[in-house]
Parts: sequence; structure tokens; C-alpha cells
Amino acid sequence: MPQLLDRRRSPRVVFIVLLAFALGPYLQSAFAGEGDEGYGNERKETTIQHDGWSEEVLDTAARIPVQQGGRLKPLLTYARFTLLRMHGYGVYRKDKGTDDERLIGPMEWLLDVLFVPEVAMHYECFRVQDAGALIDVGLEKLTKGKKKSDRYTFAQLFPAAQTIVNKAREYEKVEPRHQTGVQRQVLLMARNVDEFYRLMRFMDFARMKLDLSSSPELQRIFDGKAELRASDLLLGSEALLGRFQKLTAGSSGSGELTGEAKAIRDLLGEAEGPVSRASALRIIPPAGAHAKDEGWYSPASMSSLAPTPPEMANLLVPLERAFDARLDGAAFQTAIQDFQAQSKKLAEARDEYDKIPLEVTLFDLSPFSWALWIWVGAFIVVALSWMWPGARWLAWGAMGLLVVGLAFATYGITLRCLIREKPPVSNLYETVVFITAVAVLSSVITEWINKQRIALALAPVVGALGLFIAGQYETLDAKDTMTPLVAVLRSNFWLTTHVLTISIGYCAGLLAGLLGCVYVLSRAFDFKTKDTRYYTSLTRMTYGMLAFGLLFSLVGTILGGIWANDSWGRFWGWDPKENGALMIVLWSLVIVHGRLGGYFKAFGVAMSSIVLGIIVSFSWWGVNLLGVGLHSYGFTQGVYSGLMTFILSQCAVLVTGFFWHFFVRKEPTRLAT
Amino acid sequence: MSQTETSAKPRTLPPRPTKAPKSVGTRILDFLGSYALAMVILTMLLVLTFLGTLEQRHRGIFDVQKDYFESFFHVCDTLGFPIPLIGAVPLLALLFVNLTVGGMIRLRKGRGTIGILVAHLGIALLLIGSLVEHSLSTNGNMSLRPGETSNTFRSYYDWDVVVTEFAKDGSGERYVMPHERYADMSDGERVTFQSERLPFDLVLSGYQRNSVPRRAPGAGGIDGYLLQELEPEEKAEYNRPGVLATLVADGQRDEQILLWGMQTGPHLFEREGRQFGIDMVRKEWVIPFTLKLDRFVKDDHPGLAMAREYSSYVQKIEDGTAQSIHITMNEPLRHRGHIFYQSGYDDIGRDRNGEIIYRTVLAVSVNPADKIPEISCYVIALGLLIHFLMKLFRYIKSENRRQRHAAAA
Repeated sequence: MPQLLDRRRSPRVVFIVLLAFALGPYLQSAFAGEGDEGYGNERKETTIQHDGWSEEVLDTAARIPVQQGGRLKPLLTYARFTLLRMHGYGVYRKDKGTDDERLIGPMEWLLDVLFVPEVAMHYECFRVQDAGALIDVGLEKLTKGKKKSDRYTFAQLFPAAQTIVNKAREYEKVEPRHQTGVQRQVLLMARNVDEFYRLMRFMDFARMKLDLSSSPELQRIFDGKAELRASDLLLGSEALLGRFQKLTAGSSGSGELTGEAKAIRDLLGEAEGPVSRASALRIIPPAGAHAKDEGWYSPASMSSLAPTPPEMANLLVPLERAFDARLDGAAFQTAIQDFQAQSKKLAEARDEYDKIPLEVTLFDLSPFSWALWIWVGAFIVVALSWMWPGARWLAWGAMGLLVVGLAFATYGITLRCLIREKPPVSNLYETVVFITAVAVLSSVITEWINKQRIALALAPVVGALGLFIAGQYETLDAKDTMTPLVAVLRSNFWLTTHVLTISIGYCAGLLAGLLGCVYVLSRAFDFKTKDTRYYTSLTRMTYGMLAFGLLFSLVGTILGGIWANDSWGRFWGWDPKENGALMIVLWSLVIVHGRLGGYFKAFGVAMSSIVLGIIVSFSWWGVNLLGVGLHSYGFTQGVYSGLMTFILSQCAVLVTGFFWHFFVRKEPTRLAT
Repeated sequence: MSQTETSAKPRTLPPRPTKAPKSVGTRILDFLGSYALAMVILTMLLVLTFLGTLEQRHRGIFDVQKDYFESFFHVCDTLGFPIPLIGAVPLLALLFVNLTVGGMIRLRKGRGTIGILVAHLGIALLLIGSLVEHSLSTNGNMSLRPGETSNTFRSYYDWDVVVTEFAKDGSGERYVMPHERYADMSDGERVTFQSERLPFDLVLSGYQRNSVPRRAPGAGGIDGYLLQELEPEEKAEYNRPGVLATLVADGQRDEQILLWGMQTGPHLFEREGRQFGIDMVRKEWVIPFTLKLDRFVKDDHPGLAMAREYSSYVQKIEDGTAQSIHITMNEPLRHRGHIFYQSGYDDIGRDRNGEIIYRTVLAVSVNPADKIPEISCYVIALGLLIHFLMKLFRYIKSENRRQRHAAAA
């Protein structure tokens, strides 16, 4: 949930936004000085001419390590999920409606926010899905001429920042499952405005140039420099404080400071604001005397170390150079490369850098996107093979594409495992990707065995649909999909045994349900009516998948109980997620016994398998929406409509099946037959 | 007679052997072991589980568990209208009978059904394990500060009324009125406890599962206070019960005392020159050894207020011998029938250096069926594997045969 919901963090947010108000005039004048006229509702033209960043800059910046959300990640990952959360898309359309309109990626967007905030503050990158939230915070005039769900700029939202924070503090007291849509939007808006503001002000320390020309004493401390930057101040902080203590030694501390001591105090006071605002990104690895610290530092938190290790303070130098050269492509590139190289060196010394390139590769290469499009292609080839049934090479081509897509998906899953040092499934997003891959693999094996081209047709549909859902979920959730695990999940043994087993059970149950759909719809639409072999194969596949699913669901459920017994001291607690798994097992057993007892024949197995698919979807996603229980770490909002769409589509197939069975079918027999 | 004539002669088929009518006992066994019964039970369990899951949106898991999964019958209204449901206890009992009769005793034994038989054995074992756990297990928790020792653990949900007689040397003799004796009392009902060694009888009445003392209007109440009933908490362990205790001596009401789970200490009184205290405390069990917490370690994810791992370094002290043990998530301590799990921690203040002091919370379980689920899991997995692999090989074989025939044709 948004940071604002974390009560320990709320005061900080409030402080920052209040600080923003206190510093409002400075903010306005600072930007006005560079051509901005303030935060009106109309777009203001800026005089800054910024043409974007080179590929080299983007590639280098992507590999800058940053610690966020309990782990070290590339800056690209941070940018990607921040833009997703604020904007709702992973890309931003810059200069919309002008000749220069183009899509920019998350890294370019973040660099704009950090280095040219004067421009970025006018990006319409704040998605507000319910205009009621704007009315709630007193920005109703913004909604004129806008859609209910639309996008706004920071400059438009900023005037209501205080109201947004006040409302958010009020709404965070409401339990998440009882929050209204407007309340959730206000909370999200508060978090986004806060984070964007902190990113905009992150480089304030690099803007800072303190004039020492009128203070020769201070110049002496800083090697004769007439202009002091944040890095100089941190590097010389020990000498400066030493000098200050020497000057004030013996004084009671109650008197007015004069002369050099006053100059030092004023200097520190002047530097405090810009440096303390550089808190959004923890990009400074601990080094020197703090090398054993696990947490990385932001420039702001680093400034509280006394003395600041020079290895750390030196990292600010290239950032200051980068800011100075923000409109000079070549110099900026050199400065960013220097910073990346220095931080990489320090991170490598801590054995923390090795996963960064892997993660950049994962997001740059996007193996899951490749797999998705390859499977779409495979489906087209399968469709062509229906038109030319004799062309076996088309079927082989489709099979080949399926395998290539599977290789991409497996590569993506493997990369994630290497980055996380975990088995393939440890959160809800990963269940989707893993289950999709297993579903395609199972279909490929089934096709290899019976060569009926049924599984061949199903596999690309399931694969593409699964990865599409994964992408949608990632967009909707807009949270890092590699977040650290809660203590109880930190067991690779149980993640491997229980979670993988139960995921395979889900996969088989869903496949059985989809095969059931194929059977029912084929019957209802008179597809291959005379081909009894087709229907026999479908029934066998459905039942086989069901049996496969029963084995994994049953064993997985009991393994989960054994894990719970070791973790929480009870085998079974009737927790919603446990109940969901049990329901899959129970219904699978009903089908198996119905089949053995002759109550379900082909049609009955197909219909009941569709019900199984619905139960699997409820267990997999639905119980998380209840927001209760010990397994609610997979909880997410907004998947309700997706789940309901799936369930209603399956119900529609069931109704179609019943209609066909009772009103259309030629030979009246029992439902079971 | 010609052959034609002979062949035209109607043939008489031997009469089909008539089946002997089944006895009542056989019919009952047929019914108890039938697939139909299995389907009905499993479906009813499914519906019960589904509704019990939905109910958890509104009520705590403890209450739902009692009503749906530990009951014989329950009327559910979570969907807005009453639905009568048979509880999990009779359904599971019937399922056990069904799978024993149909899935084991009357199952046609042979190579093809060996997997089914083994899987059914595993499920029967699992059900027996559940019954043993439900009947015989005890669950609670032990909280320890660093350096603290304890040989008791306390219940999450049950509260006893305890009368302590204090001796002059400071020791005390305890008289316990157990939770299960008074917690089910109905409105207006009274439960009396007597002991020959006490100079009074104790009558408990007006038990409230979750309550808070409030100042009584006017001059009413006990010492000006009444117990106000509250809605049960979603997490049942947070309920604070209360009860009215009446001391009766020589058949006359002597004194009335309000007992509440959150009161800070026992209510003290004197009878016949003897000092007594009465209190309402969580039910406690004594364990046959002592645990001492050396240190509790909590490790957060960097930059997050989320624990990556937490664990307790304890000493198990038994017969004068101390053994160091590390209890961590997923790695409990098992000793003499008691199992200690790292379940949580409390922040209880800061030390002189400003470091947070934590109190460890260990979940304690005494469960004779602790290992049965694991064993049954292996048995079921084995049974299903045997069965489904046999089916799979048969299927592959038949597909190959079919494809060979198709190719030959």
C-alpha cells in the first residue's frame, strides 16, 4: 500500500509537503528563474531546451544500482514501476499534440524528472482514475473538459498538495477492504505527488553553490574555494566541525555567535535544505567506516554521517557535474558514466552488483513479451493449419513456435530465479508466468502423445492469454514484482515443494476447464459432429489433465499443511487460501468419483471440468480479494473485474452447454451420457 | 423332419440366473460405500468450505471454524438468506466410513486398483490424524523477554478463574475454575464451585466473552461498575472476557466481585483470617522442562520495516542441564511431545543504548498426531502416482497403437 498508510512514515510525508509549502516561494522563484511562471492549470512554456538523452546515457543510467523496497535494483526497475504506478503505462507520450511528439521510456522519464524538473512538472503523467478524487481535494476546476479517468500534471495537482495529504491521512485509517474508490485514488494521488516532488527536488543539492568569497576563513578550510558545493561540504565536514568546535570551545553556548563561527553556522544552515531534500533515491553504497551497513544511503541520509566517508561523498561529484551539464549531451554522458562506474565499483566490493545487469537484461529483453507474441504467431499458424489440414508442415511450424516461445518464457523465469535466488514462484505475479509456461509445456506434451491438434490449438491461446494477464496484472498492481518475502516465506525448500506443486495443480485444473470448454462449445456449435475420435480424445485429455491436477493439488495442499505446521504450529487453519486449495481437491474428487460411478460421461466430465476451472480461479485470485487470512500477502486491488469476466465467461459456456443438452441435442439421453 | 423345420423351431434359452435379493445389511453397505454417497459428501464439504470462506469477510476465523468446521449443523446466512448446512464433523465421519467401506474393504483388489487402495489408506490416515489432533491437541503460546525463563504456556482463547490462598511465607495454593466449566453458561445460569478446603462457595454468572467494565448508572453495579458486552473481536485471541463472581458462605451471599481478563492483578479478600485472591487469567499448562530466552534476533529487509527473519536463541533446561537451541521460522523445537514454533514478537521498549527490546512469542503445541499429515501425504502421493502413471502408460500405449493402425491404413 502507499507509504502514507505506513503510520511511521506519515509524519515524514507531511513534513516534506509542509516543507514544500514553506519553500513554495523558493520553488516558484527557482523555476521562474528558468522560464517557468508557476503552477497554473494551463500548460506553461519553459525556456529550457532539452532534446532528450542519448542511448548511451539511458543504458548507463539504467544500470545505476539503487536500494528500494528492501532490495538493490537497477534504476531502470525503479523508474519502470514508478512510471507504471503514476501514469498507468510503462511509457510516456512526450510533447503530445506537437511535431515533436514521441514515446519515451521509463528511464528517460525519470532522468527528465531528476534533471529537468522544470519540464517534467508539466508532463501529464498523473493518472486519476476517478475524477471524484479531484473534486474531493478541491480541484474540481481541473475536471472541466476531462474524462472521468484522465491524466494531470504535477503543476496542476501541487496547489492542492496539503489537502491531498490531509485527506490521505484521514482515509488511511479506513481498512483497505472498506475504502471507496475515491479514497483509494486520493491515497494513491498523495503517494504519487509526494514521490514526484521528492524526485524533482532530489538534485537540489547539485544546484547548490554556496558563495565563500566574502569569507576568507571558510575559504581556508575548503582549500581556497570561492564556491562550495554539497560534495565539498561533505568531504570537508570533519574539518569544518572541528574548526567550529575549536572556535566555540569554552563558550557557554548561550551567547550569540560571531565572526567565523557564525559564518560556519550560517553555511551549514544554508546547505541543510537542499541536501536534506535529496532523499528519494538511495544510490550511495555504504563504504569506509560504514561498509558493514546493509542499508544504502541517499545524499540526505549520508549527510547525517559524521564524518562522511570520502568514498561516499565523492559520489556526489559526478552527480553535480551531471546536473551542471544537463543540457550538454556529451558532458552529461561522461558524468553519468563516472557516477555509474564509481557506484558499481563500491557495490561490487560489497558483492551486491552481480544481479543488476541480469535485471536490466530481463527488462530490456522482455522475454515474456517475446514469448507472448511468438505464441500469438503460433496461434495464427495453427489457424492456417485448420484451413489446409493436409499441410503437416504448418502443424510442425506451430509446434516449433510453441517451443521457441516456451524457451523465451523459461529464460525469463530462469533469469528471475537467478536474480532472486528463489524458486520460480514466490508471489502472485510469478504464479501467472509459471502456470502459463507449465500449461504450454503440458499442452505440447499432450499434443506430442495424441497428435489430434487439439492441445496444439489450445497451447498458444493459453500461453498468450496467460502472459497477457501477467502483463496486465503487473500494470495494474504497479509494484515491483521482485519484492522481498515475508519471514515465513523465506524457505526455498517449501517454496519449491508446496508452491510449485500447488501451482502445477492450478495449471492442470485450469487446462481441464478449458478443454471442457472446447468440448462443450464444439458440441454446441456442431463442430466435427461425426468425428467421434475428436470427442473421445478431448474427453481423455480433459480427464487426464484432471487426474494430473488432482495429484498435484492434493499433494500440494497437504504439503502446505505440513509447512503451516512447521511455521504456525497448526496443520490446517481454515484460512481462505487453504480452503481454496481444498475446494479444488474436493471438486476434482467429485468428478473422479462421478466418472468411476458412471454418473459423469463425456459431457458430464466436460461440464464439471469447467466448474473446476471456476473453482481454481476463485482459489488462485478470488480468495485474495477477500483480504483476510494469513496468506493475504498476495492481496491486490482491481483484479475483481478480470476475475468476474473469466467466471462469467465460463458460466456462459455452462449455460450454452445446458441449453444444447436440453433443447438442441438430437438424441435425448441422460446428462451423464 | 427337415433341417429347415428343425431350425425354424423356436430356441429356448436357459433361464437367466436370478440374483438373490440383497440383505438389508448388504444394501446398507452398498449405500455406505457407494460413489453416489462419496459425491454427495464431497460436494457438501465443498459448499461448506466455500460458504465458510466467504463468511470470513465478516467474522473472525475462530468463530467461523467453530460454526462451520467443528460443528454438526449450522445455518449460514452469509449470502443474505438462511442455508442449513451439515457441519464438517458428521460429513468427515461419513466420508471416513464411505472410503473405508467403498474405497478399501469392498474395492476390487488387483494390480489396477493398488494405487487407489494406497491413496484411500493415506486419506483415511489423514482423517484419523485430524480426529486425534482435534480431540487431543493443546495449543497456546509462551512469551519470553531476554533472560526470562518459563515452564508454562498459555491458551490463546480460554480463561480460567483462579482463587489463590496466600500463605504467610508468600507461597500460594491455587484453586482453578476451568474455562470449559463455565464458558458455555446461558443467560441467567449460574455455575457453583465448591471445595472443602475453602471457607466459601464460588458462584459464577453473567459470563461475557468480550467485555469492558463501565461505570454503572446511579448506585448500581459492583463497586459502581458493570460489565458491558462487546462484539467479539475478529481475532478471537483479542477478546477480553468477564464474569461476575459471587462468594457464598453458609448459604448467604457474601460478596460480589467483577472479574475481567484485563484487570491488573487479583482481587484480594480475607475470610476466616485467611488471605485470598481471585483473578481471571488465561489457561496455563505446565511443561516438563524450562525454556530461557538468551536473545531474540530480528533482521529487517534493508530500508524496510519488514522482518526478513526473526528467531530466538533459547536454553532448554532439564534436570539441571542446559542446552542451547535456535528456534526460527519453519524450524521449531520438538521435545517431549511439545513443539515450539517461532510465531511472533512484541516490541516492549528500548535499552540504555536505545536499541529496541523484543519479547519473543513462541507458539506451543502438544499434538500426538503431529507427524501423521506428513506420513499420509507420502502415502497419498505414492498411491496417486502409482495409479495415474499406470493410466498414463496405458493411454500412451493405446495412442501409439492407434497411430500405428492409422498409418497402416
